[in-house]
Amino acid sequence: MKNLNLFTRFVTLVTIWSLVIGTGWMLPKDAEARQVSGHTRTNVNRGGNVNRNTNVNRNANVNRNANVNVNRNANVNVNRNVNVHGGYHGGYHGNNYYHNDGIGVGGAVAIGVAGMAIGSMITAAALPPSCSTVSINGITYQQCGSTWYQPQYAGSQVNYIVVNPPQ
Amino acid sequence: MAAPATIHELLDVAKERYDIDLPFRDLFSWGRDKADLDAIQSAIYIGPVKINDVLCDHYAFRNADVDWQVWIQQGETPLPRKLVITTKEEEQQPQYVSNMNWNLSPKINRQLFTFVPPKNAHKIEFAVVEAATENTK
Repeated sequence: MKNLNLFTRFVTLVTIWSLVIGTGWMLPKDAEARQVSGHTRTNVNRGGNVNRNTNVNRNANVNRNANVNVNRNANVNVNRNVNVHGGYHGGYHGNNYYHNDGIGVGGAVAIGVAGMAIGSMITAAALPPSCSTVSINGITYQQCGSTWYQPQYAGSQVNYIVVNPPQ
Repeated sequence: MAAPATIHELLDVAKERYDIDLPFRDLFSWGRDKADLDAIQSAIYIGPVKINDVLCDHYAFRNADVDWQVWIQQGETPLPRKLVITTKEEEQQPQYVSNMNWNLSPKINRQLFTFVPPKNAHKIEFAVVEAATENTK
């Protein structure tokens, strides 16, 4: 009877331990805040340059002597170098479907003809409907009235950049 | 600009200079850069499993930004057979899944490497990625 009691207590102890270990260890620990940048990674290696370097040097010296001579030197040197390489924004699903939902678009440089600034960039979808394709010196332009666009790949999508009328 | 000597270098240039990120670029860079190994925070061997009737070893890894699993064929030709990458930076944690079938004696025609543009094709320049502007849309 005494043996049975001991056995029961042992089993209870083991059960409780399992619960403690089970609940404590199995909880996901990645509760840190996530940044959402709108893309699905298709590579383990991020590529590009992601350098993070954070150095914090603190130096505090306090010297006291009998003559009440207080010398304080607090030298706080904070050096942060965060270099985040802009990423690809799109998604890849399965083997056949490739979708890209846009690279940053914008940037005006100088005012040119007909309102649109030279150097400004639009997506292919934003190109006016009544444009004609003109090929000059091996480069294909879109001429929309008096505004000329030159196509340019940005990642895997094509943007159109306003350029001066080609000669 | 001359093409880099290796596929792995070419893919790096495509990614860094032109922001063109081809899926499964990893295949050509694994084992070359120690930084890739250092990025792994933890790893576990899950066990043997069959992928398309091929017996593989299943491994799982945790990096800061992705969790990933790889299935590597057992035996004489330890080829990767499957790769799953879970993007942890996204709230929805989307997964990229790649299944691989290998042809170990391919017949490659040299002409395959000569680009013949279709009729009415137009040449388009590639934009060079400017200094780090993280797009957060």
